[in-house]
Amino acid sequence: MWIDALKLLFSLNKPVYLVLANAIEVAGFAIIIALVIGIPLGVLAGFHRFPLQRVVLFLLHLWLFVPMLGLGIFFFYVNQSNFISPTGYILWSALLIIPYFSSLIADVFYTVDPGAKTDAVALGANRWQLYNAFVKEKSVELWGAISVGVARIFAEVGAFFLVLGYMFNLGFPSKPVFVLEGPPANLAVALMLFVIGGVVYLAIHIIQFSQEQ
Amino acid sequence: MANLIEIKDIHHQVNPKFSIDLDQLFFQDGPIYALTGESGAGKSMLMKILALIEPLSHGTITVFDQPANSKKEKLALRRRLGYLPQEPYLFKGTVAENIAMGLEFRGQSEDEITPRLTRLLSDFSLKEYADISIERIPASVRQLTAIVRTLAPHPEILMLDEPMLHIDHIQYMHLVDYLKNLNSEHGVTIILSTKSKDVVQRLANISINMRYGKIIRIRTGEHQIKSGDSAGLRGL
Repeated sequence: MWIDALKLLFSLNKPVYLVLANAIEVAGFAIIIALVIGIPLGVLAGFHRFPLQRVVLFLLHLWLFVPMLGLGIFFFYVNQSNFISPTGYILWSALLIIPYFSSLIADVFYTVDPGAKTDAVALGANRWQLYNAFVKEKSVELWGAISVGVARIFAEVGAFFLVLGYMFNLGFPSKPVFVLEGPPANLAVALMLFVIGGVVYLAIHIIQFSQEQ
Repeated sequence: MANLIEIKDIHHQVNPKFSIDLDQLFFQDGPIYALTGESGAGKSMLMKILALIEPLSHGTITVFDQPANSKKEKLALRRRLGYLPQEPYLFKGTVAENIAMGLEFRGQSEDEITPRLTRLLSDFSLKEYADISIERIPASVRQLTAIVRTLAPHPEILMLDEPMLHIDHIQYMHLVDYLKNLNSEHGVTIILSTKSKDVVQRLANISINMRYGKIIRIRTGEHQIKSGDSAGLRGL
């Protein structure tokens, strides 16, 4: 089966690459939007102390437990017309995952040593230099949070679209989860996607490791 | 002598049982001041207030005759000060990268940072540690790195909270000489907090003794100063 997966990977099989291209295009855009908005929100929620911070963090954590499928279907009923386009698909995916990223990143910054902030401020850091210093300081934890978020957007957020696709026969662009559960599903395709994902994560960790050295 | 830092009517509630209470205190251009007192006297908190790190619950502070109210004012003034906390934090990276941080925050270019860095590494015998990660250096070198990082941006007032902790005897003696020179040759006013009588004797021109968040005595050399005279204490 692994050989089949590798053959698929290097076969230049057009439908397979189309699935991948769709997955990367749609999920990729959603991830980029979610990162651009979710990271600053997470930093703001976690870095500085403010009244009701624990409540904000609680709500963000609560989001981690919300079944994406139920939430997605709820959003679909709220605004059906915006869903039936790739743009809507991307935006709603991003919307679902923004609090997820924010939550993971807020946790990283909530645990910053207060003494470290004092030192950076005493050294003359302005607000942006302060954030930048701690993004560097917490880069390992941030990569971890982002990796988990990216994995979830690929694995879970697509699930409700799959269900919607079955329910309403909408024919959305594919995501990996579609491939695994839809009609063209087979283990070789799943393994091929695992190989690609593994290579991407390995590359991230090599970059991370070399930075640490 | 000009007043570099002046605080008035300070009532700063640190916790429900402890507050810093000062009617008036000023630090003038020139001397080396030592804040002394037992643990919990309020030395470190007063240092944080003077370094514009701790926002005051009540009272005013002026630094270089300028008010420190808005964030912008505080940032501009903070960049003219040097403050070493009691338990300094070193950021991930090398000794050299840590020392350069304050210079980078002030927007200095690589051309300005490199010679300053080279000079400081040489002055404090840290050359051999320059490219070593802070996770792999001894505690005494960590403390010295934090001190040098504070000195790097040429602060006009240097505030050091228990600077001699963790450093060995040779480094201690060298630091005493360096601080004396910085004060006498370069005109940097120094405020340090310490529990060590030796540090006070070797360095301080004026010692300010604290207890329970209040100043109880000010001495210059061997003489106790009464309230309201040149050391700047009023309203005792």
